[in-house]
Amino acid sequence: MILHPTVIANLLAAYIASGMVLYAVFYGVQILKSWDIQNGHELQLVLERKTYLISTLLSYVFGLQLLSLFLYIFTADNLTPLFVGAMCAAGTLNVGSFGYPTLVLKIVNFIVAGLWLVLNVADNQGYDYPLIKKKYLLLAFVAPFIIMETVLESAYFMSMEADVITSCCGSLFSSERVTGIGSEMASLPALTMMWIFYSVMVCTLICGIVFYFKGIGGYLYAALSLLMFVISLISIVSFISLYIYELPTHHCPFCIIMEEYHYLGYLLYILLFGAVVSGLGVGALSPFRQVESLQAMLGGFIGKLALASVILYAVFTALVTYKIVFSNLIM
Amino acid sequence: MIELVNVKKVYNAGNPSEFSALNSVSLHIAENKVTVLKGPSGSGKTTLLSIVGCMSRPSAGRVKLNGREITSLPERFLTDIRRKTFGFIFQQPNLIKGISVLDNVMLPAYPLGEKRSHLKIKAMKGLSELNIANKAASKVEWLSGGEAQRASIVRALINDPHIIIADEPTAHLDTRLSYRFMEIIEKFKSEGKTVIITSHDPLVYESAIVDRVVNLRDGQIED
Amino acid sequence: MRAWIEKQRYIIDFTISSLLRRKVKNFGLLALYTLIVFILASTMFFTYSIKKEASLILKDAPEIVVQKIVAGRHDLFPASYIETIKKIRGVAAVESRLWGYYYDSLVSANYTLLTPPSNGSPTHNVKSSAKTTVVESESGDQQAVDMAKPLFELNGAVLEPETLIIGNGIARLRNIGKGDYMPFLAFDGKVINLKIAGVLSSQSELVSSDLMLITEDDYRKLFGIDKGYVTDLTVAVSNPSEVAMVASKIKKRLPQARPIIRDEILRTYDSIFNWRGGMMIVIFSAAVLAFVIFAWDKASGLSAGERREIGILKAVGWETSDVIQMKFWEGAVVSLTAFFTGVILAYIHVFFTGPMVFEPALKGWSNLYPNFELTPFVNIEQLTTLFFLTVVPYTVATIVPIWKAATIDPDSAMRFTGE
Repeated sequence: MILHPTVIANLLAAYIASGMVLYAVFYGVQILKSWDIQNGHELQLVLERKTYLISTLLSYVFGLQLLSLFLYIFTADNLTPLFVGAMCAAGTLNVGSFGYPTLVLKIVNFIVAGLWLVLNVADNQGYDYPLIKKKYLLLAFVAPFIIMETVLESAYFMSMEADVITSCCGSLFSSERVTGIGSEMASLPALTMMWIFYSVMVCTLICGIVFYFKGIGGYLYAALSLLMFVISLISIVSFISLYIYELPTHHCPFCIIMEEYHYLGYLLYILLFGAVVSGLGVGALSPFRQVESLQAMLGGFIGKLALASVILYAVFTALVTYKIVFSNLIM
Repeated sequence: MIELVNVKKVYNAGNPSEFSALNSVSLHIAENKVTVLKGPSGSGKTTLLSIVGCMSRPSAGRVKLNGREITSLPERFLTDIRRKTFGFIFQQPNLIKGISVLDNVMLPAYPLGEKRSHLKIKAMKGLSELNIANKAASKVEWLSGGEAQRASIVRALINDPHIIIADEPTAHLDTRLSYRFMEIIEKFKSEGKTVIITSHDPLVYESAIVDRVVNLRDGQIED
Repeated sequence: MRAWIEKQRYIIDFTISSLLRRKVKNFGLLALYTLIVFILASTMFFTYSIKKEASLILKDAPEIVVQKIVAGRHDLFPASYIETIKKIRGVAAVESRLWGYYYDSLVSANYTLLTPPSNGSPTHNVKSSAKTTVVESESGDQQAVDMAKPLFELNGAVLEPETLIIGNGIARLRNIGKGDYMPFLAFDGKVINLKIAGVLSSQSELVSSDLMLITEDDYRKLFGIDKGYVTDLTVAVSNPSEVAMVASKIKKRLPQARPIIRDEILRTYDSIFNWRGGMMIVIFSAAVLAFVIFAWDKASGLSAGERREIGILKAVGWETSDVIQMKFWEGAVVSLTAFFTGVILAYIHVFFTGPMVFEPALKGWSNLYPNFELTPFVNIEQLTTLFFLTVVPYTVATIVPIWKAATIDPDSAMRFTGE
């Protein structure tokens, strides 16, 4: 294990998040078992109060998850000099076999925690808390993933020993050697990928706007926004990074969050994460539009989510386009 | 207006210390009337008032407000109904020390997010109606007992509620101020508001403006 | 949306006014919080900027240093090896170095003596304007922990035979300066007097504090080293990607040689400072934990007055989540104030006043402590780490107490009798 302040911070964040989720699940199970809104007994009143605690905890977990995602990449980048051959975060994450799985789990958990909060906001608008059981079932489903993330992250940092020879991002995300997902993403021809990115993006945006004004195609939009999220991540590796670095061979998706590139990556990733969470929220809430206590407001709320998602994707696209147009790199 | 059917409230259920504050109370409170809940201390007046005022939920029974069933509403929604429908005047003025009278008066409106300039005008109007506009900027510690109570009345009215609830309002007032308070109640009634008061002060329940007196004893209504 | 913003504004205003009303109570918490941030921030700023400085220094260092190892110990390097290494393909230049330690019993300090490179021909003597970069490796008794100690600037001093240039630390310690004489006890017991030609600039004091520059002839006289030997070699490689290859070739051709690659030095340097910084954090984590318990206690031990206040708020129509929001803002105001105050104080402490508290623990391996100012170096990553180590634990510790406070019965206000 490498005793580095940032590593300690990462592990601390992971343990805190897991602890909070476990605590929330503990009361969530009680709610699943004994919730009865019609009843005015003390247990019910206590449980109702617990819902405030759980939603507060989960909002913090959500925030923590977002911050720790970036901290994780930062840490990986920071530890780079300790590993032969690692030139940026991509290389460090390749040390041991837990680096990338942890990263993927972090992203997934962030999205699911975001969806939980979307569900929570909607549920809190219905006077009979119509989604409460579903909400806590989802929580019970999310918890193992967050705990798994903590375990993997601990294993990753604990097993880390300086001087392990790893491949650097130059080879991991370079199109010369075609092995591993990273290289496959990078080896996708940039121009084709650009076409895919822009055409799917246009479809997504149109679908979102149609849904916003006409109220049809909610599920389609949710699916498209998830697809778009994945495509955008691939695009960052495949061609967006090239224009940002202005190097025809540098495909790393992590270096863009560094100071040298004006922390541009943060903006890009936050836009993407926001867009996918609100986009998926549209799909998650659509089945409940007919619930009586939610009827009045849910439509409006879903509309707002769709609008937010569309705007975030649009801004993302605008930013990417700006970078491509004004880049010194010509392909 | 407000209807209670077989309302029960049990505290510490299942414990040896279990006690029921209200036993099958059924009550109808009429609109634009002054109703007094009367009874000795420990008779369940305050508990009944807090259920009527949407501050707490009954353990059993039903509560209807303007025909809408509100018994099983969670706290989040009860609060929303409460702050728009009820204005509370407590036994103590219950003002928050250290901030100005004006800030105290505006406090109930904060969660509604009204525009500050509008809110200020409303609060100043309320204060001047009860002749304490000149105290708006002073801290509440500097108010006399009567002024403090008037400030708390203005606070109760800031969200323009239909129903005014007063819990033992005259307990800490001298006779002159108590009469002054009843005059204010009369004014509310003339404005079309419904008033519910708990009191065991004869000056209150024998007052001419009171339309109905409900007697409570041991958590039940006596007739 | 506008109503929501307006509401947050009201709540923040109220929160700040209620914080100010409880100045005395909150001051203790704030002071402690700031202190914790200050300590952790100082540690981090310090280790990071030293690391940064080291890596900047090492950037100009030679790619490979070659030593000779006999029986696992550092031995003098035969000059004849130089030709062998020069012949390896990819090697751009090879230079020999002479350096060593001298113990001064008068002040019980160890000096590092070094002959500047290209010292062989007098015409190539270090010119007044030359900024020479040298890396020296001090080998531990075993294993390969090699500290890189580089860089000095000659402040216009010219090194001639019978003279020497000394580091700032030595000048301070012995209270001597340019023009003074310094006696040395040579290997054979003779006393050699050398004139001080100049003092190294203080810019690079981290590495040059205990340094002495001396001519080759004087060095050999002092330590009795034969012309055929040097301390070690530096090897420059023209193509950076061939460094490892060249190093392994050196090893193959000269089995007794130990090549040390610059990146290895950098890595070792890095992990030692990471380790030191991490160790400090672990030690301070006890303090953070104590602080978190204190915060928990403070947040859960509401005074009767506060309890009453929340009761009133809830009675007049504030909802539980409004109170939680209020408490959230309260935590945010306290945290941000403490965080930024602590960080700014630490910044001043580390970069302007000289980090008096941590210097011995984090910096020195010599009893000649460098006395220098670090170049300010703070990045987002450090601040995020700090945030995670201080604000996050604090915030989490207060969630449950906040929730407890916020769920006071709204009808409790009706049950207050008497002040």
